[in-house]
Amino acid sequence: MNRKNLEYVLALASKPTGKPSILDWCPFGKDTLDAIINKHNQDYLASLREIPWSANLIEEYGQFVAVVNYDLSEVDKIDLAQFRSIKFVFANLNEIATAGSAVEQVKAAMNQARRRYYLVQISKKPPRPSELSRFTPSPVYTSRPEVIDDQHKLEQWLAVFYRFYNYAISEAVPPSPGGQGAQGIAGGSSASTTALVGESKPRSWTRLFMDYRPYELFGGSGEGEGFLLRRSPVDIASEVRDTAIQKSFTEKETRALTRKAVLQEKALGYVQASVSNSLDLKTGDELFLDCLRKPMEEMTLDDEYFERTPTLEVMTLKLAQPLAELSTTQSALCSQLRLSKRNRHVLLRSSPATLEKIKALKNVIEMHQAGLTLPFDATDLLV
Amino acid sequence: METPDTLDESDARFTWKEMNPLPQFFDKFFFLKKGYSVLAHVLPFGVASLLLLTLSVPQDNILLKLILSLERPGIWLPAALLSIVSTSVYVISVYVQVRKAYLFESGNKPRTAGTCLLFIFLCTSMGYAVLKSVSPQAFTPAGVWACFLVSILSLTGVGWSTPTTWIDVLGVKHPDYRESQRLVRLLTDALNSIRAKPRSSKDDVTRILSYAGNLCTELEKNVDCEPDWARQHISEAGNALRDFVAAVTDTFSNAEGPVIEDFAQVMNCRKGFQYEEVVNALKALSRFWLEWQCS
Repeated sequence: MNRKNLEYVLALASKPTGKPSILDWCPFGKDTLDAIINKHNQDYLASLREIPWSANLIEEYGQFVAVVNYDLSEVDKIDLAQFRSIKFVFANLNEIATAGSAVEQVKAAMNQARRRYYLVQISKKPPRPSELSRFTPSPVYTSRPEVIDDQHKLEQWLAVFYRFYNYAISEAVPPSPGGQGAQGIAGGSSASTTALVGESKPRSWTRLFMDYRPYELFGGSGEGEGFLLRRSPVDIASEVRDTAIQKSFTEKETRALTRKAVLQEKALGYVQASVSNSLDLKTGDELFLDCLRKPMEEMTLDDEYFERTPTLEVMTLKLAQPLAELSTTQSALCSQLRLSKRNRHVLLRSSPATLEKIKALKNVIEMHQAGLTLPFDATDLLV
Repeated sequence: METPDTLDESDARFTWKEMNPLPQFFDKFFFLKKGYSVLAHVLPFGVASLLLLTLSVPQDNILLKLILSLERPGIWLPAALLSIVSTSVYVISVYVQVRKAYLFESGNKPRTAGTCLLFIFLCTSMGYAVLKSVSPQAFTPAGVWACFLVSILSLTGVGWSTPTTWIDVLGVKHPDYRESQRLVRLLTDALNSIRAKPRSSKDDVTRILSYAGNLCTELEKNVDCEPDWARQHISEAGNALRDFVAAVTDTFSNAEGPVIEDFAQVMNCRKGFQYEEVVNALKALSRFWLEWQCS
């Protein structure tokens, strides 16, 4: 089976003498890093099979852990693309105290990669004091506990981490053609399975998925600034998991947040499809919807963004002149409105601040306003 | 199915024995393959018979004269040297043929020893029988030595091209694994050098695929020359090799960047979850070639 969805571990530790790879590092003097990660993945796979998920579902939506094959002395050789796949940094506290430049390089790269990662500080007993301050400011979350001095604690933390992913992904995965979703046959599952996936989805939630076709709606290569629109359930679930863990959400809250996030993507998908038709886009034109999306960390469980507003008032902005001909002030305002290219159409919701900026750019941009009615009512999906 | 991390030689032997007990058992001590060694010895045996006839039939029985000569200590040293050299030539000739006919080198030495001892015993006994018929009183150490010397000189002919050509004319073929063994050595060297690296390159993948692919072709060529009882084992090795090539091709041939770099660690059986198929195929393969086992 191919492992499609992988989140990578970067180990800030030295490879053992005489061994070719960091995979042979024994963080707690017991199992190697390779064995620990392998065991975690096997346990996680077993939990997915217990749900029960089919091999195809596991391949498509299961999320596993892999190790970046570079050690502390080789951090400078890792390219940006690989940094973008790193989710965990396992820092060996016994070594990083004397490895200043490597820590700085990781911080700089993670900042550049705009990737939020989890810092797992590893220390043999007795535990050393946390070095979290050395990793800030950078987009870092920390493990709980901050310093892990025992293999069992690390395994437990990883298990909890992926349990939250399971909560989210089992909500985010559309139902299979047979009418059953990722949690599928949950009715006949064991108590431990219920702990992982919980109760069945409400019928209306399942109905909402019936025309959930994100890839068909968005098409394209997946590259570029607008790529977040084509978010897969895996990406949504990962982001929900991170937010839920940071906000100490319960299972129920995690599921509710997932539903809100999926709903937002669905609404954006509908907006894009509708606006694309009405704007008569030419080849090379780009529709930019990121400004419509509410960031996950700003979402709360009781706010209403798409759920109770079936009619959306949307503005479409486009530069009427080449960017080079604008004054400095106009350029700065355009940049704030994300109008960085001549052929980009930016979609926004109207707000007093936005209208002020648009007024200041009166002769520079073209604006269209449209009222869109979402083809679904999601008011009953909030909890 | 889970493949165990390591297998020792006894596991391999167990599998070997389990498949075809009787021929496999004899094959451990004797070069059996389709009776090739028996046919290869027919011509040297004919020469030995002719030699014995020539020596013993004339009035002045030359075989007896040889025995009398060997009773004199003065001739012991050159005679011993001749015996040792001839025996070495014969043993090496048989060993070369055994190595050529068997893919796996383990067991070649006892097999060579068994084959040589059997044919030396038979040929010497034949000489002794002739000697006894012409001179019943000649059973002395010198008599045995003379028979041994005559037989071993004849048996050295087993390495000549004539017996081989004669067997070819009969249509009996044994497999020729020399190229396969060369490829196995190349593959082992390549595997060891890749395993010592922290990260691999595309060339490493290409090299392993090329050697393994060629080895597959070589095994396929030879498997038809194998007797039925040995074919299954070779076919299983070939299948394991083909699975390995397929898994490596699927996973690595079109891969880039980190995946290609991981190949070195996968060849060390690391990252077994991420590259399950390749690691399992490698472990299955190392049941046949123990030197490919991961440490």
